[in-house]
Amino acid sequence: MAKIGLENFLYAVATVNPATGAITYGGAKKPGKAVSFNMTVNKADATLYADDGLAESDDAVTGGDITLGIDRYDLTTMAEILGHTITEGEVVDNTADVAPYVGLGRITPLMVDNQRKFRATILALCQFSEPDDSDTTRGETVEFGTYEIPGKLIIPTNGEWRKRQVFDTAAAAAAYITSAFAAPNP
Amino acid sequence: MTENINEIIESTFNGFSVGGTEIPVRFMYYFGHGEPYVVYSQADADSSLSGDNELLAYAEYYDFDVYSKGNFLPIVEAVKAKLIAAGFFFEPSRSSEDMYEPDTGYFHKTLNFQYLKGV
Repeated sequence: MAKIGLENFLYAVATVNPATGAITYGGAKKPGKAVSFNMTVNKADATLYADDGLAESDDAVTGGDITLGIDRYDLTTMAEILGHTITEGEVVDNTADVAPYVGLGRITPLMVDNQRKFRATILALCQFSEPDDSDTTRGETVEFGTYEIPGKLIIPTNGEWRKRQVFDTAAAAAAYITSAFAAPNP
Repeated sequence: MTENINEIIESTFNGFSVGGTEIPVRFMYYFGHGEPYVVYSQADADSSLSGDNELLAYAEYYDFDVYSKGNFLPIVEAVKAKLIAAGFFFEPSRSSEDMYEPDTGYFHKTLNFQYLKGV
């Protein structure tokens, strides 16, 4: 199941019910075209030795760090996922801003036994943070500058931090993510 | 819609003249007679940007060859000024030194420019 690329990031602002931990999403949106994605998971890494041997171990995922690489820095999108205020096109960043929880989906094209497949992956809860920033003047050698948005992987109350499914078409994989992030009917 | 760089070049050099002399600027080859003249062609391309598993943009490089039997330096500067104003980026390290061709009597200089092209 070789991976042959990355496409179609989708995110949705998430609301967590403080009493039950239930998550509702506000509808899938595209932050930009997908350039890269990285995730490092943190694990409990707890071990218990007894009778001079390993008696118990727990490698449960407890969270993680993610990095979203995209081709653009759309101010409206970034204001939404970083919790900034936007008024008539102007974004104001304030130290009191709190980034909302978001669900994050992506599609990984695969080659399986000479067949194209598409794996949809949904991370139930993430929280992005301010990226570092730098600019360089244009030179004789072109370097296309893309954007990397760092974030945290959050573990939901029910423990279901990731969902994945493989589809025959990219459209079906995108529909799976869009459906999961659909806003509840009013 | 994808940009046609040749159309941009043709438009940029429509009625091009230096010091009162009209200078034809043609793609690949100049079939006319007399001088000075300029021919251009795509040299190569690199530095691609991809996203969503598709090519989004890349850099194309164009050579502009200036031919003249007289002082070609004002023409070189005029070509550079026109193309920079049109959004091209001059590439000194990809351009040639000053050349003279004894068999034809032409002074010749190749100027290279970069153009960022979205897909």
